[in-house]
Amino acid sequence: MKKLILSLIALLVTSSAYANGISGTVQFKGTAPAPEPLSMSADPTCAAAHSEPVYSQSVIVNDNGTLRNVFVYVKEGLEGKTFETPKESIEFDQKGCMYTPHVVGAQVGQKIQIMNSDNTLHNVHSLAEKSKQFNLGMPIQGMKLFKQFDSPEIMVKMKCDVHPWMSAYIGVLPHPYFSVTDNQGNFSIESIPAGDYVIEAWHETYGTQTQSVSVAEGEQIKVSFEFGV
Amino acid sequence: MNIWLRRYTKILTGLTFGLVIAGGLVTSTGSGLAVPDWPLSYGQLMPPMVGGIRFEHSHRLIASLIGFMTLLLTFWIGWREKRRWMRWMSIGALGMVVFQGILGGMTVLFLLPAPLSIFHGCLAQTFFAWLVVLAYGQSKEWQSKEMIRTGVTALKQFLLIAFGFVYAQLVLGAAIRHTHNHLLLIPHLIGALIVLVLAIAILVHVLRHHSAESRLTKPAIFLFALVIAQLLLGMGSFVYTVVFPKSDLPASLSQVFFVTGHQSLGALILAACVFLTARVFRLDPHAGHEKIATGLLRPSGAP
Repeated sequence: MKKLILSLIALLVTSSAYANGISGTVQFKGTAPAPEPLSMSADPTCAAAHSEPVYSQSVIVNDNGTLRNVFVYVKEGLEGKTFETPKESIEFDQKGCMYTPHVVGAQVGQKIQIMNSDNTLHNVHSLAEKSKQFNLGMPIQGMKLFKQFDSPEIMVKMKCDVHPWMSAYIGVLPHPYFSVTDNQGNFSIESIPAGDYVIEAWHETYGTQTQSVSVAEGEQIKVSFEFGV
Repeated sequence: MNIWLRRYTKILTGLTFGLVIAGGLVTSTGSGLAVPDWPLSYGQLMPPMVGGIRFEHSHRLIASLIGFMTLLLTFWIGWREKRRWMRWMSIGALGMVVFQGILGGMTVLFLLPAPLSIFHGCLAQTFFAWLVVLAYGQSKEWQSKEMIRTGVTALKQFLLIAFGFVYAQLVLGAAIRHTHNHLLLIPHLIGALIVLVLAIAILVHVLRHHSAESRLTKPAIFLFALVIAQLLLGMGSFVYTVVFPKSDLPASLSQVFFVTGHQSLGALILAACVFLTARVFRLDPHAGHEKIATGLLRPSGAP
């Protein structure tokens, strides 16, 4: 009985600790720019992979007027704390001659599994400024390789020089408190310790915005950003 | 005098200009790292020619051809050419092309560090101008006893100054291209105006003092026309890369045209300047005789 009570208390404490979080939406202000069509005629395999027009991912305004692919992360407030590097790897695919995902986060030292799902060759070229750059050929479909970044950096640009329309961004952080807006413009940073933070939202075209927030124990706070012209 | 050697040198020089354009296309299309390995391409001699690989691998293939042709030229000149300075120039050309190939490989393996890329770009243009002199050295004109009648001391000075500024412009242009440092545009623009003034000065001087000498008037007019065209291409490059830069998407055809054209015409201006300088030095009635007297220059038929 004593064990059961202790377990219940532990569960309550744990669940309250994990309830802390920051979530919200990134709105787009103004008129959404017309999507820029991509021509993949430079590589017939890429062109054949799409039956419908493909557009640049540099600005994607969702149907509900929110902005996709915004990287939201804790910029300040976690100094001096250390976080374990996740054992699971981040998946980063080259599919249909596009990077999937277009924006993603990873912790320092976390493995990134880079895949080539295409029946054509790619080179995967990291333009990291704080970690060692690399440029690797991935000529075989199904090929996988693992890379990692050794220093925090917002953002590491990835590109394929064979297919110049292909680019992606990886946010590298020393902690796990980051998120990327989805097709509803939502982001969610879970299980963050209570405290005062500066949250930054980064977008490849519209730059960055920051907000200061305070997260109390057991609190889920809402933050919203607005980008646009 | 071997007519085939002369023709071969001219062909090599023309192909080298093609290589300069091909190299420019690699940079303009952002294809410099489309092939991540070197000397092979994706571990093969002939990878699939798709996307950026078309530019990078074509550049490598043309460069290999030029390298091989330069090797052949060096042997040919060593075999048939009596003039020591020509032999040394051909050995110099071979050294340059080998070094240039290694530099190109290093730019790939070290992921395009700006200093290496700038050096690679400048050496390409130097090599082209070097071959122009080699080809001119093979010409009938060089090997004849012809001289021009009027003195060219002032023209020589103009040309040497112009050469210095044109070369500095090439270095600055390469630095802007590979560092994207727009502050360098200011000295580049000032340099362009100086080169324009020098081209005008050379043209006016030649028309005023050597108007009957078509061997000087034609290249002076050509040089001036190139400089004017270069200013227009430079403006186009400025508009497409600074005023309306495109970030992620593939470069537009117009951007590729202006930027590559600007770089390639730069090489042609250097070559035209070097050619005119070489011609003036060769046809100088005073210096020419001195050279012949000292054995540095041997007229055709001399033992």
